[in-house]
Amino acid sequence: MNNNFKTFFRRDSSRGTSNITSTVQLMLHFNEKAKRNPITGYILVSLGVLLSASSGSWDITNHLLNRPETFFSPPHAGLYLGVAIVISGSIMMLRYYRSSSTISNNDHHYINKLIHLPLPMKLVIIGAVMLVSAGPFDFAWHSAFGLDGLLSPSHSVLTIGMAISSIGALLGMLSNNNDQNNNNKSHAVSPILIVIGIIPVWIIVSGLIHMVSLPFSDTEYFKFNPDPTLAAIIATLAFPFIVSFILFSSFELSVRSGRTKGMFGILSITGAIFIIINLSTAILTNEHLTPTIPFYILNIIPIVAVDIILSKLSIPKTKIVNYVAGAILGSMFLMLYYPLITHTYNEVLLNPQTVWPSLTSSIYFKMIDEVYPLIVIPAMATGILGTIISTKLIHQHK
Amino acid sequence: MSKAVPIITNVQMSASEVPLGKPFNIKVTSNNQGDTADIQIVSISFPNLTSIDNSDIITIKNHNFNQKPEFVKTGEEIGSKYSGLSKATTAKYPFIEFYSRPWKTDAIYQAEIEIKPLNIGRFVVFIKAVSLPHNNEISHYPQTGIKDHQEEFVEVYSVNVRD
Repeated sequence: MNNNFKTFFRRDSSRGTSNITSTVQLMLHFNEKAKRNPITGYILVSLGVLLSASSGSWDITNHLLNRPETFFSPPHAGLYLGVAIVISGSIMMLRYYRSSSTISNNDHHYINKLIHLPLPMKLVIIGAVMLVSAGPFDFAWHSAFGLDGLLSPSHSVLTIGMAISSIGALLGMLSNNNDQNNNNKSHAVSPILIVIGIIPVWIIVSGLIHMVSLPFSDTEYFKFNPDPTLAAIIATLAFPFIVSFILFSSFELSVRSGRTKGMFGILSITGAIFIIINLSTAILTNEHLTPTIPFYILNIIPIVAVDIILSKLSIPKTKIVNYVAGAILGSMFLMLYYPLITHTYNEVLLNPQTVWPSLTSSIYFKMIDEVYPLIVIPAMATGILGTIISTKLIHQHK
Repeated sequence: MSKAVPIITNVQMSASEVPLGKPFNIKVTSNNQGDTADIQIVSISFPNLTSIDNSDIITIKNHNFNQKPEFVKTGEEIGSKYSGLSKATTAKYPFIEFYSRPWKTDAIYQAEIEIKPLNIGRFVVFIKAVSLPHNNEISHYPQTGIKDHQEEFVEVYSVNVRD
């Protein structure tokens, strides 16, 4: 944990009371902190996206169980609270930029100010604008067409906005952290920042892939369901890639410059947080899936194994080791994206059946035998591709 | 595999005979005595009617189902033989489907509707409950008796409409 974090959390934890005064003081403290360091803003953007994306996953499960639904449902509340946090973080980030940049003080043209923003800030602002516009758009869409499907124009704007914001926040945290550490002649990125920054990107990109592959988008007015075969191909190629890319990147970012050894634990923690989030939003919310919790938790085993391979067993690290890691991570996607992925592959089975919430696990476990042998090779290949692209991007950045 | 057990626990008719032009009420109570059902439907159909478009004929007085009831018109495509739309047929008369999703174990839902018959004679009402997914004969109620246009068992109730 870097020093900013240590002092930040120590000061906050000393605030014993939870009255309005302390809340205002806390906000002022955040504000002051943000003026000196944009990382606070980036962290809030990442946490906001994480809350929104997790609530989105909960919303999907809620629709599957089909509990009474209005626009003002608990998952939507979480989703838009996350959006509010993203906007707060963006404002803090801009306050820092305004106080630290000469351009913003002298130039009154907003376009010029936007052009001169660093790339991470630009991405966060573009994403935040999309999020803000998606709220009323989504409400209007619900009002006009009733329940909308997973893939709808308003949901697309919201999800792409979150993806852009989270990528901007991650890049912002990494570049700012590197700038600070360059002064200290070190290139290591704070582990906590890696995890906070990378998890929302993983969750929201997974959401985008689900959006274009799950058969949840046909409504009374619009038929947006993807072609089943195309959806299965997208899932088979995109999910292993993103699992491998994200987890491998979380490890690779911890590799100190000039050394080949990365830190054990970051990859495992990132994977564990993903498992916990999916467990909370897609499995625990459906009582019929409760018996499958131990099965789902077993996903941590290959993740920890890859962490060990990369950090402990590969000195000096070779490309082959990276490829093995990518292949393992890619090949586990069918288990990691349980239970939602059942709906995607059920559509291309020889005898598809209705995936009722109570039948999801039995259909899934029958499906594995049929589907897994067909997808494991392409999944390993795109998993390997994930590590190759991750290595190139991170080394280019460093 | 979860096994829901739908049952119609009570049907209350406000009258056994009504004069033409006067309404009567029917109150249906249903329960699930098995595992949680993904969906459980209580269907009330009106074989004497050809249409329920006129809002005076059928009025929902109240209900506590957690989903909005659906009115099905004559001629619409509907499922049959407890197989849903995989064995589609055409509705020969109108009906209302009240449903909850999910319907938890021992949860009780009820609905009360007001009916104003259009003709003199015996006004018949069919009532049934079906849980989904439909696994076997305990997934529907009743399990024997008369079958409706969906080839599914129903309980039959009637009111005599006099001049």
